Amino acid sequence: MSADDVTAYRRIILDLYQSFANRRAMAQAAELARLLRLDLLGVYIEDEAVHELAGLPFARELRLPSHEWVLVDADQVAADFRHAATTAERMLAETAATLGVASVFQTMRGDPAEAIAGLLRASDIIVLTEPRTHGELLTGALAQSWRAALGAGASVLLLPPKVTRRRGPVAVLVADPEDRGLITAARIALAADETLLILLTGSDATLCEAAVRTARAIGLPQGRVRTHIVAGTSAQSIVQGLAQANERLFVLSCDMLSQEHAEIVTRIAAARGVPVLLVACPSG
Amino acid sequence: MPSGDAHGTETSHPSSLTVSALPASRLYRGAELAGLAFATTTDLAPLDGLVGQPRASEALRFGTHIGARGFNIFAIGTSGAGVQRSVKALLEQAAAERPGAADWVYVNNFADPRRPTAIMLPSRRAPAFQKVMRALIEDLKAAIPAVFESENYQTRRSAIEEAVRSKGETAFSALRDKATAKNISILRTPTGFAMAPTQNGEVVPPDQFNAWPEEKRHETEAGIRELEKELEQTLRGIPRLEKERRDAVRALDRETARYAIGQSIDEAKGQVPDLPAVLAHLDTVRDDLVDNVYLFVNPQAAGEDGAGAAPARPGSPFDRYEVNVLVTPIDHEAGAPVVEELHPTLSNLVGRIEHLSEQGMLVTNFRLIRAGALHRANGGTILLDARSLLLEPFSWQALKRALSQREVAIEDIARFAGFATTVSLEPDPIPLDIKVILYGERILYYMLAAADPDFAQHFKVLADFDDEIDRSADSEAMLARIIGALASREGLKPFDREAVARLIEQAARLADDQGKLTLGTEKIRDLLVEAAFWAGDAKREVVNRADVDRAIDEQIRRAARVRERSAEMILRDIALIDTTGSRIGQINGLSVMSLGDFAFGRPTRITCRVHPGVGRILDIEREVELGGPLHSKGVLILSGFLAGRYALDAPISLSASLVFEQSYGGVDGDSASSTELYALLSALAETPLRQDLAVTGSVNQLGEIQAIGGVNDKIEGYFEICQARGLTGAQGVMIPQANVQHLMLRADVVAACADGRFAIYPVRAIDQGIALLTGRAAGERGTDGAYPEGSINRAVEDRLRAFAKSRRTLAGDGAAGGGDVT
Repeated sequence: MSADDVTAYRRIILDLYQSFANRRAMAQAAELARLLRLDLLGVYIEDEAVHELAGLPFARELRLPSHEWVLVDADQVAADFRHAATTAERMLAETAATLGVASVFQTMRGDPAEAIAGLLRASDIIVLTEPRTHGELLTGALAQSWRAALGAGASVLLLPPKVTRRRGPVAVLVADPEDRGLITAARIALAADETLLILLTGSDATLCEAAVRTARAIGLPQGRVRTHIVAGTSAQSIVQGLAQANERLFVLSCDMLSQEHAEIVTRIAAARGVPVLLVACPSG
Repeated sequence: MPSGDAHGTETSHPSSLTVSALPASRLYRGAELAGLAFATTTDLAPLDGLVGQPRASEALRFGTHIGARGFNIFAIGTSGAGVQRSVKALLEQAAAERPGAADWVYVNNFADPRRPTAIMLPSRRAPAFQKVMRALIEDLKAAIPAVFESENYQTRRSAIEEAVRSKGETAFSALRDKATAKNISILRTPTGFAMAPTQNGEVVPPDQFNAWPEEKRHETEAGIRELEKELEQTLRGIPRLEKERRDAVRALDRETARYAIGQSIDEAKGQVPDLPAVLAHLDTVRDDLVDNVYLFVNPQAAGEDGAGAAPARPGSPFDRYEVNVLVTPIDHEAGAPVVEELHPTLSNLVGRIEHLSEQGMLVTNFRLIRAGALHRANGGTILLDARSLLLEPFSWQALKRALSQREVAIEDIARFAGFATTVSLEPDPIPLDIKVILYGERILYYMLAAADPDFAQHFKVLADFDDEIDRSADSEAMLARIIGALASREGLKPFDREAVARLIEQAARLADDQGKLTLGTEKIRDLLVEAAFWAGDAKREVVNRADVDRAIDEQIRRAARVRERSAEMILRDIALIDTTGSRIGQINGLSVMSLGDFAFGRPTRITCRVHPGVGRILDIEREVELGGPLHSKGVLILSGFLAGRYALDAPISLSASLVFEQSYGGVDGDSASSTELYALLSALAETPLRQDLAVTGSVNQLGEIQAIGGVNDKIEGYFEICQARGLTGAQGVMIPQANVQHLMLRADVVAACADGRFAIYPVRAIDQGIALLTGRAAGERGTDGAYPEGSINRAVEDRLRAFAKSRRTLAGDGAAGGGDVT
């Protein structure tokens, strides 16, 4: 993959279904859109199943945070969805404007996983938020979104529950000098005026030199490219390798991970307190 | 009657002798520096401190050495006597030999930050303690984050997160699986969760559901209700899981922090092993550091939202571990402290708590505690100007409170008075071991002793500074060395021998006594400075006598406007003063007018009129309330004199009026009582008095002339008038014999007397004076009990008898008692 291929990214998509008022996620998505000069699209999906539930005579809802049971009313559900969508749209617009990024907001109705899957392209990066509470895990929506993204060949930016740093090097795990993650990370580092920290899984001097050349070719000066060797590609090895890095973003490609992408990425994000960008593997 | 001395009148009975003018040698006493070899003051060994004050010196030595409670010192003396400087010099000298005072610091009270903890340390150890704490915190800033980013910590942290997360996921997965098994789906609504029946993984639409058999619908609904309970229970368990996770992480953080902090604390303790209070404080610091480890590591990295972090404080969050060095000696200071507080406001005295404005609020902490003078002087001595102390609100009370309680408590008067309601501190009071020395004027001491019942309890030692010292060769030599020290300290040109001699003579004049030297060094200092200025003005490198004379003359000239106006009034005959001829019942008295530091004498005409009456002498000054009590006393004494000397066989039938002519201000003192008596005798004897003489002196009922004050100013005041009109050789001043020892007259007056152009007459008794004033002998009673014919006393007695007879005659005519009002 050449450096130009990175420009194949077109959109940053922010799924607001699970958390429509997540300004932190909006800011991260807008920041990445600004750095990579991508379009920012916010998507709010009205779950069709909830609409249908409202038609059932016994249907009731456990409202949070009061933990009170109330009967589900169709009109009320519709109003709640509208309110959530309106709020999400306004907040996204405000957040994007603060960073000088243009944003588009879209409301959809249907099955959330299918709707996202139908929306995503290989040129998209979807922003997902690691659940902050166990309650958010209840529906398993994050896993569904992961599956949808990987199925569509899209990349994923996973935000940890709390972001620790907003400045610092952009770190990337590299096994191939033509790694798409390396190119993406170098682009982001260049745009963000940060150092690129290349993590290598072995002391392969040739690979190291080639990776540095790739980064330099993107435009990073010599002083802003550093390398570091990590023990392996497990979440634990990567976290240990990043111990003193103070990175603001960690980037890796799907092909660096053999399996359980979601689990590894989630662990790294949680341990380091920084967003992790999982760059999708080229199809085929 | 007392006998005269070799220089005055020689008499066994004064009324029988004439009075001789004093020789010029008695009018001024020059300095005798023959025993002191020096050319200029630079040759003199300086002499400073407490000189010529044996009584005060012993009192100070006693007061500073006695350790008992309440034996503080009140040093009193006239203003400008150099009490403060002398005491301070003495104290500093003594303090240097005593051990240094303890250091005091304030540290944070972690259990109750509103009550900072005071710690006493050996002298000069506080800065080292402060450095230890700063080094400790700097060390921890690096050590703690490193430990929290270590592989071991991250591994254990991940394990905790994973374990708790796994518990939650297991519970939710089980619920989801159970729901799926029952064809129920858990849905996320915009505001919560709900459950819906499913068929083939899809939520059953309402129409389809309603088409189901009733039994199936009920069964499904019951299944949903059952799962709803489980959902509720599962969700209600979330906070418990979260807490479990937080507790586990916090325990790990504390364990990790304790390890990281423990080593550094132990190292810090190793630097202060002999300071138990500091070691105890370091233990509390260790506990607080563990509780607030998130100050050192990113709260997000530590994972607990900064839980347990210290609340916001002014400055850095690490300030809570700082050491506020309240008191420690400055590098060059040795021995016990001697502190002088020139501006003893309450806060300057007992310290203060400063505040910072933070987001519109006034906030403070232990680092903003500032020491007061009592803190700085603790273990030593504090020197306070009594007047300044008493003028400052609350300071006197605060000082007494500190002495009573033997501790310094910082008092925020604004808070007490309700001026400020902001949050403040109540620092530990600091035990007080101090010697207080107040200095001030005598009147302050006497007023406090009379008005403040606590005063005697706290100030048991009086150091009373003499204003003057006996004049001798030794004391003159001592003053010469003081002059040398003053000139040196002020950076003045050196003074030659004659200049020093003139200064010593002026010191005697300032004491108004030939036999004394003033100890008011402030005035001497002023004169030195001015004399040096005039020497410089004349391009001289050494100050000579002429420069000192010039300085004295210029001092007088600058202040003499009123004196000149007064003299002008007399010379232009606006104020009537005769300086030649003689008049019955009229005499020149002398008074002194004080204007600030400057005083001058001026003559005043006193007149007397007599006629038969009821034995009353009318003091017109008193009648119009211009006469003070002492003046009235003097006039009343005249009645006693008359009654005791004349017409012993009949009641006094005299009415007389006495008045200070053209006097429009208050008159007090009895220094004119002899003068008034002369006027009265003249009026009774119908014998004129010399107008070329002026008279001063008080008289007692026995006719003895008594000493008065301001004799030099009085003589010079009359001399100036006579000199301006032209000295006749007959003019002079009668003064009490007792005042001869006080004469330190100006050189021109002395010269005029030496040339016979002016004269000073010392008088012991009224008979001597009346003889000099009238040219007739006073006369003594003969064996027949009568005064000699032609004598003044005879004339007076005859007149009084005539008055008595006249009164009796008038009484026989039924008209007695009238005519006593002039």
